[in-house]
Amino acid sequence: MTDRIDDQLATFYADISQQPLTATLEDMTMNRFKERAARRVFATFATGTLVVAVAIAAAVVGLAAHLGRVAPGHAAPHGTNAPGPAAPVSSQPTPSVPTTTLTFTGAVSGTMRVTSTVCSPGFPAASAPPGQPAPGQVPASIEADGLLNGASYSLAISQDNPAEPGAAVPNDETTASLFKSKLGGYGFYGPIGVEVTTFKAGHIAIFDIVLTPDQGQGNGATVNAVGQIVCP
Amino acid sequence: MRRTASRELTLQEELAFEEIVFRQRHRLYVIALGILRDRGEAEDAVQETLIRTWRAWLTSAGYGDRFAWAARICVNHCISRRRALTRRGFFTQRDLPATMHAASMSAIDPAMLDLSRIYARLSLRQRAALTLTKGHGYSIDECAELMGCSPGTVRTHIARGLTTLREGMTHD
Repeated sequence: MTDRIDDQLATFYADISQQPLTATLEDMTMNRFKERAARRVFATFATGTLVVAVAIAAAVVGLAAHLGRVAPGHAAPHGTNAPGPAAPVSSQPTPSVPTTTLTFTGAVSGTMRVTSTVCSPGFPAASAPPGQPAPGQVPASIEADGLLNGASYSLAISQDNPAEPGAAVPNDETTASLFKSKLGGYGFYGPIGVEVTTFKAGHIAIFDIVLTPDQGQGNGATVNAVGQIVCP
Repeated sequence: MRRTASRELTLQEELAFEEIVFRQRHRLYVIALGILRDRGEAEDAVQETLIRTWRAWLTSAGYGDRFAWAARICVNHCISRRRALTRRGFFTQRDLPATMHAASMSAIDPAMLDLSRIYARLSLRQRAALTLTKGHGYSIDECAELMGCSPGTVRTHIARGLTTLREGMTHD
């Protein structure tokens, strides 16, 4: 005899199985998926490489500092008890740290950590249109991970490299995609339309990002966020 | 020649992945939805499953049912990921979001609403065991394989889950 709960569960699961895919999954094509998978692998590799590089650098700096402290001075002159001059300790200036985070304020707030930045040479001065920024290193591609409104997202922004022959005028070819890479809390589920306007000044690029959440979470409202990245 | 053969094999595997897993992502989604009971989280779980499956696709060549292999990744990810978030304070185990009340029959049937409410109290493993066996027709042994535990453990999860559902239901 079939338990009543079994019948109810059968109905329950049949109900679940009728649930349509989310728009993000529905619209995903195999090619787009492969691109994302490749980007994810790269981001993981880049992050891991960065961590290892930082660890090695810290170890080297620590070792150098240690050796500098214990390095013996020159031998004291014979017949004297005066100590020799202190051993020279070379100190390197701390390099300026480039911006490695994108800070979002406004309706969507949070910080994303930049995992990958590719800088391009910027406009050749001669070909720069009037009103455009001076030549300098400008971000051509940025990938970042972080929490926006408590949910985990990955952001990828890329634009035409103006140094490439035949490249379109920057700002016209800036594309961005924002997707949830991991489970997050509550936030903007599903497809998010992203429009990016880029303002460049020298080696600084400011991205004015417009997020359009799906109907389920944002009631169709559009919110703006501004991110900024500085190339070293 | 060898390079060409390798490319063909890669293409074959890619097509196999697309056929066996990518086009079956709704099945993965339904499994994740049965365990997580949240559309957004289920979506994330499926995306993560697809990526993990894609990365390790060649290692699944020895499995008879490669979709089941992907489903196992999905089930384990659902359980482990939710636990990790719970540890970090995103959720409490007994206070999980229930965003399933779409315009479906569960929204108008009091018994289904009741069941949905009590179902949210089940542990993730109880939900996984019930989802796989009652919702997808897997046998106890297959379910144990998917969950990475013994058949006896699966039976325990199912029995305790059903007991909780029976005791909590107020509508007959």
